[in-house]
Amino acid sequence: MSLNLNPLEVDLMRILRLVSLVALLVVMIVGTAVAELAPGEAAPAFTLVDTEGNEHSLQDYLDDGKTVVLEWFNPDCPFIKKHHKSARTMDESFAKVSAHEVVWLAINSSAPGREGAGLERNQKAHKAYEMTFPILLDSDGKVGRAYGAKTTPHMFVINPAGEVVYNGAIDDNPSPKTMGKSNYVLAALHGLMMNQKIEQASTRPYGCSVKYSK
Amino acid sequence: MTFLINLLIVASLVLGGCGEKSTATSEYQARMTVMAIQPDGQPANVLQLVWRFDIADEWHLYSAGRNDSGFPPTVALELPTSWTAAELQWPAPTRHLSEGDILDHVYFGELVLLQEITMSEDADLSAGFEISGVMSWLACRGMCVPGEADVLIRSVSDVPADYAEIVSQLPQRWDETVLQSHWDGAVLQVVGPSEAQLTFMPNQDCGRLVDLIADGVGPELAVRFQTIAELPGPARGLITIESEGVPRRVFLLDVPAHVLESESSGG
Repeated sequence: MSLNLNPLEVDLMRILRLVSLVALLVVMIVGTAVAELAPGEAAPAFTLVDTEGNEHSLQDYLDDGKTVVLEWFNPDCPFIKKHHKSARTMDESFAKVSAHEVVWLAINSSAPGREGAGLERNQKAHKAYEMTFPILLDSDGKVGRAYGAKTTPHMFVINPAGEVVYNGAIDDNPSPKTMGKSNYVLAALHGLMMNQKIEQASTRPYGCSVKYSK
Repeated sequence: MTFLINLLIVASLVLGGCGEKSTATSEYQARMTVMAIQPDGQPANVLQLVWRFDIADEWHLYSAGRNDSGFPPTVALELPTSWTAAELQWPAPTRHLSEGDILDHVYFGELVLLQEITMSEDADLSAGFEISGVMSWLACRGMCVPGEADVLIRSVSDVPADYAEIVSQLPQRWDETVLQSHWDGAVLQVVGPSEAQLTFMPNQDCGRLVDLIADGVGPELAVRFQTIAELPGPARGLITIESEGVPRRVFLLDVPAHVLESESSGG
């Protein structure tokens, strides 16, 4: 079947192709830089595969009206062990909110060969830590850099409109061993659910550095 | 019998009877020792704690300044009644930029911290005393390993031979004959000696910066601050000066937040 286009439609298509090409170039350039996402900014779109082979698209969750929590993850980082092994901060936090249209995704941006990287390592971690949410693999670090993820953990909360409403630490104790008293992510989620202003929309994340590729 | 006595003496030394206590991690990333000294020229009611970290090759510890990741050595002390502990005093770290634009300020090789303890007025060291606690840290090298050591100090040690050098590594007060700074809008301009490389290492309570990676090192510094409520700054941290053939010098920077002048509207 062939398309019968008038000259104006042909011109428009050429323009659209050119705009798409420019947009793609911009994404390619920007994609290698590291962002600093402030609350209120649009969350970068992504599609990543988890350790079970399932694909996760941020846009699909947003289209379903979900609030999305992102947790930057490295199974071998002592701060991650603090929150997944010594205590179950992340899974318990998720359990408190999972009935409220919230999705929690761990993202591992460790480059191949670096600490905590690889499918097998993360499959084992998912089981050992008895995680109730998936680990998505971002081995080329594109999503991590797009979000400006610096530490594991580094937390983002995204509202159903696709805006970052929280960026920072999970809680208020940056020690690799001692638990914090205030859970910033739960506070942000509570604020969202109650349609209240999130008092601390941005905190300094703490943890091990994300192990990006060189 | 002599063997048993010797064994008891060794055990008491290990348990802190000599004024030092160190605990090595099971796999060596960093080892810590601590001693209490009374250097000449200090008031009689002041002890100086000397915390010394021996850091394994290629591993690093973190400074207490502004870092994107990590955890600095942190101590929790139990002191005799009415004794007080001042903040740890830190030498200048080294700037460390990792993939993903992750900027930290760290120490390689050795880290020595000083900490003043002010004793109560009626303290009598000859009657015995005990300072105890825990020092925690994070050592990293592509991976990170938390470390911890118990602290137990019961006597005063001799001043170590390198004490003067340790003190010389601490940041000096700002010296306008060496460094000059001024605000240019929301940018703090810092100028040092010619042919020197300057590095700015902010404290945790420094004002929010636009891009420390780009602005924080160079022959002159133009450190851009974010304007929050029209007040860039305060500018707090360290400025290091490195020149060929000259030991690194470190100065404290403490410039208050700067009120931006608003442009007058036309008449």
